[in-house]
Amino acid sequence: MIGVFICFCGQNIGGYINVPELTDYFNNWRDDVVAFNTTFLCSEIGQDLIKDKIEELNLDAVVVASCSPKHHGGIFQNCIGQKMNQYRWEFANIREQCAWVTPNKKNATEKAKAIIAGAIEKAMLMNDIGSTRVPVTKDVLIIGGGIAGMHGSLELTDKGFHVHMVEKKETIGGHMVQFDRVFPTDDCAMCTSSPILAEVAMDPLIDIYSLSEVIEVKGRPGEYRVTIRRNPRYIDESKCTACGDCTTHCPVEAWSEWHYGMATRAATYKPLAQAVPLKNRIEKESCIRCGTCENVCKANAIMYDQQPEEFEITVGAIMISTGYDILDLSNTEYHQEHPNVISHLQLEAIKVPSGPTAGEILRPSDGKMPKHLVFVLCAGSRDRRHNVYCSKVCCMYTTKNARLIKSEHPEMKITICYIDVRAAGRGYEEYFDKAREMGINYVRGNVSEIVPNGEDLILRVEDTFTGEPLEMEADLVVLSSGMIPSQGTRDMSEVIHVVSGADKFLAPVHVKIAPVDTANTGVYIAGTVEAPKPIQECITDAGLVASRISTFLKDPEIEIDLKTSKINPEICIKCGTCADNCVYDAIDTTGEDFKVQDVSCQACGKCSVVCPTGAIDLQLFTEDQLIKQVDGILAEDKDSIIGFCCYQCGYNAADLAGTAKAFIDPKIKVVLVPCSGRVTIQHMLYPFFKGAKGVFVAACLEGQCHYIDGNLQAKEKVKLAKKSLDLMGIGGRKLNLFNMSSAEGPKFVAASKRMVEICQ
Amino acid sequence: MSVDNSKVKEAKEAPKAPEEEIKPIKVAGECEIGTVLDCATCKRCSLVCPTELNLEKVVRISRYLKDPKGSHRNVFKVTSKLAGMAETQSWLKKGETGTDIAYFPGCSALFDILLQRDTNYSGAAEAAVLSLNKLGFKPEIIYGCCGHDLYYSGALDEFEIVKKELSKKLEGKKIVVGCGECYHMLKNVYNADVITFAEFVFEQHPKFEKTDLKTTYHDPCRLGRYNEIYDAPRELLKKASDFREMENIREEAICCSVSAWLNCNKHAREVRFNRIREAKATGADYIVTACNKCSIHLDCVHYELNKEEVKDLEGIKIIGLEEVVGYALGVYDPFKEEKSYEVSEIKGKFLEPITIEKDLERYIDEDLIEQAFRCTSCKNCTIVCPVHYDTPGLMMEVFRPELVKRGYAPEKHTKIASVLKKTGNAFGVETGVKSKVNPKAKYIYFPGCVAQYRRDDVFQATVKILDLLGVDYEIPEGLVCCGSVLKRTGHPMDFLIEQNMKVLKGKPIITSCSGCYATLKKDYEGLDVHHITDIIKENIGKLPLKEVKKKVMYHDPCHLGRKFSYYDVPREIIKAIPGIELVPFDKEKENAQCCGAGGGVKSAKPDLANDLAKKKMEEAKGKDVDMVVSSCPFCELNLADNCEDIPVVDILNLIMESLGVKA
Ligand SMILES: Cc1cc2nc3c(=O)[nH]c(=O)nc-3n(C[C@H](O)[C@H](O)[C@H](O)COP(=O)(O)OP(=O)(O)OC[C@H]3O[C@@H](n4cnc5c(N)ncnc54)[C@H](O)[C@@H]3O)c2cc1C
Ligand code: SF4
Ligand code: SF4
Ligand code: SF4
Ligand code: SF4
Repeated sequence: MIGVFICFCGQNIGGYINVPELTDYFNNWRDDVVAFNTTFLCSEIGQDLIKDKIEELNLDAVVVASCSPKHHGGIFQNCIGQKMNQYRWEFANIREQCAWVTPNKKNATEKAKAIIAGAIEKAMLMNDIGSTRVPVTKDVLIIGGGIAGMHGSLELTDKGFHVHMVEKKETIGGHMVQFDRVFPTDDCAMCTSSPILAEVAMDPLIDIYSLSEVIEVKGRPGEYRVTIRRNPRYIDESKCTACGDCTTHCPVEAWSEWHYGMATRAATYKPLAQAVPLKNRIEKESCIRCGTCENVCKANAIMYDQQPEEFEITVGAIMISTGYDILDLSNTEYHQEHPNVISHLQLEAIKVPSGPTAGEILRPSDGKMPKHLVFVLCAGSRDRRHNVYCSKVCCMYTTKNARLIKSEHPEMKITICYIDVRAAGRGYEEYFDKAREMGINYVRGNVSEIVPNGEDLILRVEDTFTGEPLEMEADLVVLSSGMIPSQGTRDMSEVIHVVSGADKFLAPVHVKIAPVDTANTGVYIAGTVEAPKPIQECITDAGLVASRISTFLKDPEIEIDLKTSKINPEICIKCGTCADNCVYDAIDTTGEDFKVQDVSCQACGKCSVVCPTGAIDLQLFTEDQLIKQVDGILAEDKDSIIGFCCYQCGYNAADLAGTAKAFIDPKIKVVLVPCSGRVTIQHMLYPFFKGAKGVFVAACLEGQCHYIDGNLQAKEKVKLAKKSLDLMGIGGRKLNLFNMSSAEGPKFVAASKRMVEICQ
Repeated sequence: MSVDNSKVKEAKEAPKAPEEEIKPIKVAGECEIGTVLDCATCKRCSLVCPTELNLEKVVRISRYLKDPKGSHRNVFKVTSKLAGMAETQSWLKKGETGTDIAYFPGCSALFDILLQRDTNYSGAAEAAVLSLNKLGFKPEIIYGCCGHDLYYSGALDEFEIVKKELSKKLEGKKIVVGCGECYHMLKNVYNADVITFAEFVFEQHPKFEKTDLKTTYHDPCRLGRYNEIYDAPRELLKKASDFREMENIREEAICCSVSAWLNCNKHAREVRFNRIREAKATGADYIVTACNKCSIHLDCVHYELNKEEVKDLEGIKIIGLEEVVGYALGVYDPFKEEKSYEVSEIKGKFLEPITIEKDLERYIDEDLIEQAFRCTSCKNCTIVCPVHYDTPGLMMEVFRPELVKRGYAPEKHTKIASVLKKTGNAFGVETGVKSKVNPKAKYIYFPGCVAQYRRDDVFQATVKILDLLGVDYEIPEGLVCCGSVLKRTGHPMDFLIEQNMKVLKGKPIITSCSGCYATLKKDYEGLDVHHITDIIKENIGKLPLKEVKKKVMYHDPCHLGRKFSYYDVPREIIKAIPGIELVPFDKEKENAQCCGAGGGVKSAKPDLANDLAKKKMEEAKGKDVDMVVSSCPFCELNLADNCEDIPVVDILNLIMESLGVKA
């Protein structure tokens, strides 16, 4: 007997779907199905209803018809787990994917019937899933030592964890330690961060690997094996006393990367007086191997022939805090090639008291103080050609620096060109008001072009208040360029297979409810890896991650649900195809029978797709469960268009379309799969046999598959299945694959529209 | 199954039997999984089945019951259904078409696309059309799916739809077919006017350019055993190439291992490996087949990633007969890279889903019932079956119970079942149960119905010998029939098991009947069962055997012999009697022909049982023996019923004679 529990969700579902009718319908549907409804199924009353009915009616499985499983999936799983195996249930997402996208109540109710029928059919085939306990390592890896990484590490060592911090640069600190002051308090950035730097440096529970990168992560939650590559410093860290003698004698003068080219440095240097580790470094490219430093170094620390080394550490959990970079706007309409057009990071590099001008604002071309300083906000942001998104902090840091400069040089004319000023945050609006009071000139206008005018510049601006084109002369222009994920952040999404959005920032499992969790258990994200944000939020993230990690690693063992694939040795012909297709090396082919190693398997299901005999199957999404689900849907509505949506991206995008209350044709019915690579050709073809009007697969963006190449495999399969549909006279155009990120609700809407158009 | 492995081995290494015998097949192990799945419907078993059972039909229809999933994620079952409902596009790239004759290319393009092997199985179709062109024919090409895989995977309702549609296209045409499966379907199921490509070409007396290909020919079951087409392909290959024969050919050919995508498993894999080894041993470079599926299944080995194991199989290629012909006619290049199929994008049509109420009754006819109840459960088939498919298992576990449930059991069986329910024995005897109660005894003697009520001589002999050997045994009260007859006729036997277990639990059991032996050993749980001959053999020295000057033959009871590879013990006992001359049957041990009585055949189909017994006894007469000895009272009963001249005695009676004791 299957129990169907339908939630009104207040008016959220009840307002769009006729829940009583639905309940009646399923109560009279088949002898082995009973249906109930309640106002809020996730509430205690709702959960009790489920638990009571399981017991009272001795239910074999449960169908929860409510919001997206991404919301309360965990709650229902727990609730059901108290009475039977926690996987004996299936959800029917009738809120995001039905109520909210189907304006007509009758249509929505009909669609809900099909969704629920599919869920019931799948639930009939749900198996018990066991679990196992595996030991965990208490060590934590933090990748990226910016403010988020540093704060996280201290929080974690406070709780007794051992932290390995991997930093790509020669010092930890990240962007914050390059700033003069920080909003909204305008306190000195270094004063705030140097105690943190020092604390991290001295903490015996933190191992810092500078000039290092993570190149491979293997293993499983609780026991990740991490390979780190340490790049040569060409100076022996254990000997260097950071006395600086080498720097003093080094004949080389090169542009300083740390100062974004606003200052010079020797070939051997330390970027910061407070650098951690406090050691010099020789930069290979600029070094001319003259041997001077080797001669002057009293500590005998120079090592010209140091080689990169690789080593492995084992950690239980990982925090990624590899931060951001800013857009490179050279060769764009912003004309960065002009020496007096600088980025805001360059301005910060000048403004720091320890900088090349001791904090004075002098323009690069001639070292003169500018008379008219113009800030260009949204440079490359909210712009289809560059970043479509808003970088959130630029309005504020621009206001910050404008205020700081204005207060030091009241005579200087300062103009800020903006689209909107976004000053949402405690004290932010007041901060902005003050700036205007101080005589900073805010011009609401898009800067369309910056044209050189000798040493000066002319800005062409469209004043969006008056609609008049404006021309403005300036002698120093600062671009508040948009933020983008750092190269390291982008690399991490590949090395650790964390999904990222279209903007390439790493994506949490759920932006709202699980903002620092990733789909990989035991892997968390903090700071600007996730999105542009101010320091304050980086700190909040890092604290939350520390708390999440200490919960995750609190016991010596963790319980892992064995939602893995399984091989039936009776059928398996030991061809090895599955093992070859498993990117996690989860299939042990050494024994008498081939076996899936439960703790390594990530439950993507790609193995079961390629198995020629059908010996291997993914337990929570078996071949038959998915076919049955499709059967259920099509039996209710044969005109459906079946969309296999991957859990990481497509499904989320479909949910987002719902949250945005977009219109989706009720023909579209979503079937959840863990990865698009789990969809077999049978799944793609079978719906047509049952009358379906079309089939599509919604997968992650290329290069963004959580399981690395699932979407590419799906692409290949779709191609072949299309061909076979053409061959059989059904028409391959009715089957399509769409790539979208988890944040791209509109893409899901567009995909649905396209499918409906094609499948007329 | 609790087969003693050492004995299995022994059995397999047994000396080769006379010439006309079908070679037993060696496989990784006995197939026991998925009873409806494993049969490759290759019909090799039909070579030995004494009852000439049409197994293929029973298998097909029992699959209808179970709706099994196919390999490759079932995709080809789905495509067959789809292809039946939609309209296959033309896909052959080359060749001139017309209306001289029709040609049916089958589904190879679909396999090329969906198997993801980057193959060109479609080359066979292209070569066929080009060859026909060369021979002066412009064929009309009929695209579509013959539905073979639906038919043989038991999707019979869907097949009917495919058949209806395709029949329209086939009507009134003479059709050349290359693929064995398509040919078999079109000829025998559609009753269309078809001819194989091989025969058609052969009739044209083509002029071949002899190629340098070294070939061997793999007989597809559908052409070979199903339609007895053996010569035409060979004649063509001899003309076109350097041709060699494999070890198992023509009627005896071993199949490619998989049918209707159903039974691909490790046993099947072993079969195809062995087949390819056989081919390699001929020194050929090409295995030529005339069936798309044979090509695909044999070719599978080339896509195994776990290569170490199959290293020795590398280097031999699979090629279609049409390709060799096309090559020899100079119109087709089998080595070309280019694909032979081409698919254009189309708008396509929407399919109306079909709702089919499954109903087995549609497929039950007299013949089916006849087939289902013919099997004597002798297991002879399993010996020559490439996958050791357990046919009696299918009959007893799946098919007969279903028919019984539906009321199609032969009247005689129903009667026996009700008698058994009433009296606890198959003969309906209500009094005179022999027992010897001794709760302290070490062994239990389980006499079984025949010894109890029909062959008292056997009963007496057993008891005497047990006494002579000093075995401490009892015959407890409350024993009922072992249930063999119910099991084998598809009736429930739980009530008997329940009753017997009350009495039998805990002590080792001795039986003198091989039927009881097999049933107690296989259908009961946790019993320690011994056949009396085993005990005798162990203690043969204790028996003062005297000379018996007789020429005898030993009949292997199926339930002892093939079921447990128990061949040698009885023979050794017989040979231990001085003066005895033991003459073998032409087919003995694993190849022995059954007495004909098993599986409920004696009661339901006495004519069949008698015919089979007569056949055996005729042989005995021809060999001029004094008596036929066996170790199963039931076999003896049937054999004795069918011969007045030669006595049929139990091995125990023979011992009694040698001991000089009258039973
Ligand atoms: C011009 C400007 C001014 C700003 N002013 C303010 C302000 O006044 N107030 C405020 O609240 N916010 C301000 N911000 C925002 C602020 O900079 C960020 O919120 C904050 O610095 C982000 O910290 P983080 O730790 O997330 O990243 P980051 O500071 O970017 O740190 C990331 C660290 O990871 C390291 N890393 C990168 N890749 C790898 C890798 N592959 N392996 C190992 N390590 C790696 C980097 O080297 C770096 O040390 C400003 C931003 C800009 C652009
Ligand atoms: S489900 Fe994915 S991770 Fe698990 S064994 Fe299969 S391919 Fe590997
Ligand atoms: S792909 Fe399938 S048959 Fe091959 S080894 Fe894996 S489970 Fe076994
Ligand atoms: S068990 Fe014997 S009678 Fe039955 S099918 Fe096999 S060979 Fe024929
Ligand atoms: S020989 Fe085996 S596989 Fe072939 S038809 Fe007989 S039982 Fe089936």
